Amino acid sequence: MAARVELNRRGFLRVSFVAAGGLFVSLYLDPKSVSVAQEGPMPQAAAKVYPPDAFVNIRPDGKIVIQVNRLEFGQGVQTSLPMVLADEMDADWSNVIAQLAPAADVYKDPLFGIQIVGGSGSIAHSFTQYRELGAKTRAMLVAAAAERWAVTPNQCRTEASVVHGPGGRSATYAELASDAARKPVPAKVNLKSASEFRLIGKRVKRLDSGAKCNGSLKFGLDLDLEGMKVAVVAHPPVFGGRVKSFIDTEARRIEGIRDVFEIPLAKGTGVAIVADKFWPAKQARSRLKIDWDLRGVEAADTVELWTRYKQLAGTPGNVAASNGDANAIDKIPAQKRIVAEYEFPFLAHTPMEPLNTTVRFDGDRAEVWAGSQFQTVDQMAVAEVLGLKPDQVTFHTEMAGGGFGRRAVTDSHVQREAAVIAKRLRGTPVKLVWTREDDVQGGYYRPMHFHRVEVGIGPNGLPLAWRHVIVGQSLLAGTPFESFAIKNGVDSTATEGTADTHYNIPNLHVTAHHPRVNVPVLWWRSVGHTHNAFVMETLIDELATRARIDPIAYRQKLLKPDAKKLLRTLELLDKATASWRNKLPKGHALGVSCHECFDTGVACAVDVSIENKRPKIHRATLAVDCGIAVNPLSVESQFQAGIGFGLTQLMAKGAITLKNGFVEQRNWDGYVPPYIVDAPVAVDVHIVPSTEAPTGCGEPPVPVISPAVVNALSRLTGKRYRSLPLVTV
Amino acid sequence: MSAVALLKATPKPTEKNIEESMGGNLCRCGTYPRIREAIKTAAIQITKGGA
Repeated sequence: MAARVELNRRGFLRVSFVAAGGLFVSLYLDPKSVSVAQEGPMPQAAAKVYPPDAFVNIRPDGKIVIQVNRLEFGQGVQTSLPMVLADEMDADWSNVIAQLAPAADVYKDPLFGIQIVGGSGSIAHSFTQYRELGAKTRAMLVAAAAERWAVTPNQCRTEASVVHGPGGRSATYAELASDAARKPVPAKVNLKSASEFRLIGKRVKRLDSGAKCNGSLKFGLDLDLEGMKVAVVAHPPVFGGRVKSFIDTEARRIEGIRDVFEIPLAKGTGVAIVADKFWPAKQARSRLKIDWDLRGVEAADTVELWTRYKQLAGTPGNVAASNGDANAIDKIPAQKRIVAEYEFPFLAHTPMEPLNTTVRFDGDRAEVWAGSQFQTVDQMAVAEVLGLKPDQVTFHTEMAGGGFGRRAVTDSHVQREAAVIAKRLRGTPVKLVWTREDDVQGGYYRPMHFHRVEVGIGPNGLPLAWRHVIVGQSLLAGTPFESFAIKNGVDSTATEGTADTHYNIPNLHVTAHHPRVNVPVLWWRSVGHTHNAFVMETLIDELATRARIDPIAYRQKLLKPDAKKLLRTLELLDKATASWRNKLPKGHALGVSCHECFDTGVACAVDVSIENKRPKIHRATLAVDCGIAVNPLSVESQFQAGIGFGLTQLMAKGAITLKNGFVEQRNWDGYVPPYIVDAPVAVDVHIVPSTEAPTGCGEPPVPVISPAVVNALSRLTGKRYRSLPLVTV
Repeated sequence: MSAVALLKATPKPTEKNIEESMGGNLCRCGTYPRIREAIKTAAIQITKGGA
């Protein structure tokens, strides 16, 4: 049985359970016609169907085209998922071509029930799916060969896209494909044992690196269609503002301007400018004179919000976790207590490739090109705006340059804007571009959070009581995912990593407040773990220091025995850092952290000194337990780069702030991401050998790095770092 | 381009040289350790190749 989440057209979630279904196949069938056929005559409640041909196409020239049911935006899934399928299929890897699948039912995440990259689920949720698809395809090819040679399938073996039979007979997959297509799809197949893997577990180079290095790879922003126009939108300076009136005389003087008009936004209204090219559109936008109506719009102000959040944190919120005695803390003497208050600012994602979406509306059909992490939701949104059914909207998944959550937006605001504009320009493809400034100022930030924690220390130096209040906007209130993630008035995406901590704290009481604030918020790579891991791991480290216990040993002592992944990573970290951990040069210090999220355990150790009043990270050693590492090279890359992304949190200018409703940063000059000087000089990644099911590696690298670095700083300066960004050391 | 300029001027760059030359290049993915490695690998290959 698999959990399946259906997002119906009104945008509410209902959860149903369906048995995994049978398959139908013809290896040369066009994947698109298969998916269309499914949306048409097949009954709504039908069991989930994965026709192998929607995923695998064996071409007559021997090339094997594998559809990837995910967005590729640097994480390497476009290589790793085809590896999984090709391994079970015994396909010749040198002839595998990976393609990003369009939006279609067959490409929905088997667990989430929508097409998505999220929750670090791409490999975790599609590993078995892709193995079965590969194994079933292989079985059909073997059946075709066996019939041709009048032998039994078990007399045949396969290797590198060739079936070998008795008596030295052999046939290539390409030769067998059309016969194989007429074979029934086996209901059950035996999957390989780990010792039989040829690709899984090997360091396989990514398929797209060549094209990325020579610049030939096309991203969504590179799309150029016949007759295409480019649009930008002037958004209100305060979220939810509305256009009172505008003068476009000066704007329209710029050559190549085709249209200027008011459009509705997810919040408020704006003015769209359509031009032949991007630059005229952008220039024209700066010449627009817009009178904004900001009446009745809450002007959020981060200084005021901190005051409000701090006050809220002094009172208990809705209960997220309550183990043992909630008031145990009050019985612990003051000198055995730590009271800590933490501040985490709004953070923007700012992926390298600016947000964009291209739409062409043809009346009864539409076509969309978008680097989307959320194809199902975005396809529905475009359909709704255009008055179409989702299956009338062909949705191409474009290669994207980063995303970090920013391309999975529950209100699909970029796609809706693009659709509104395309509707007016019927028949003409329009590419909407959100510039970096639009993105930095446009909301959808990691929400700011305030934590207040009281820790009571027991006689053994371990925490005996822990009272923790978290204040921050809910990510999912008012979205289709509300019923899924919000229980008891607590949005679990705000408390994850604390309420479900793996540390054995006898009296743990975690509550949360979710104030409503007029700033759109969104998941930021690793979501609630970005702040919860920081709080937990800095406090645990403080306790270890106080108890004069080695930071790795302290964590091993405090973790619950069933926190197997974290215990294994700490053991590996202990070994991997033995050569340097206790032999650091003068002025350097060790920083340690560990955190499990999305079922992947990570332990981190850093060697840090202070240079130019900033942390200098000389080395980071990571130990990872992600079950089977499908592509260890890809896992290593994710962790090396993911900790670089995580350091965004520590940058001196790593915060989005608002004054009287206006965002104070505009671009990477005011909101500064990490540069080479900020990143570790070297990162070594150690993977725990495992035969367990693979778990995600997209988000788990992010939470560990910031606490590890400030834990090292604390050893150097004796100070505690509880407010981010890290303005001073 | 920054890396090529660095290697032309400094065939055997130190970590500090790399940091200074690449200091203005932003990699939003955060692959900086790999960029360092790539420059060092290229430096070795160029030296070996006798260029």
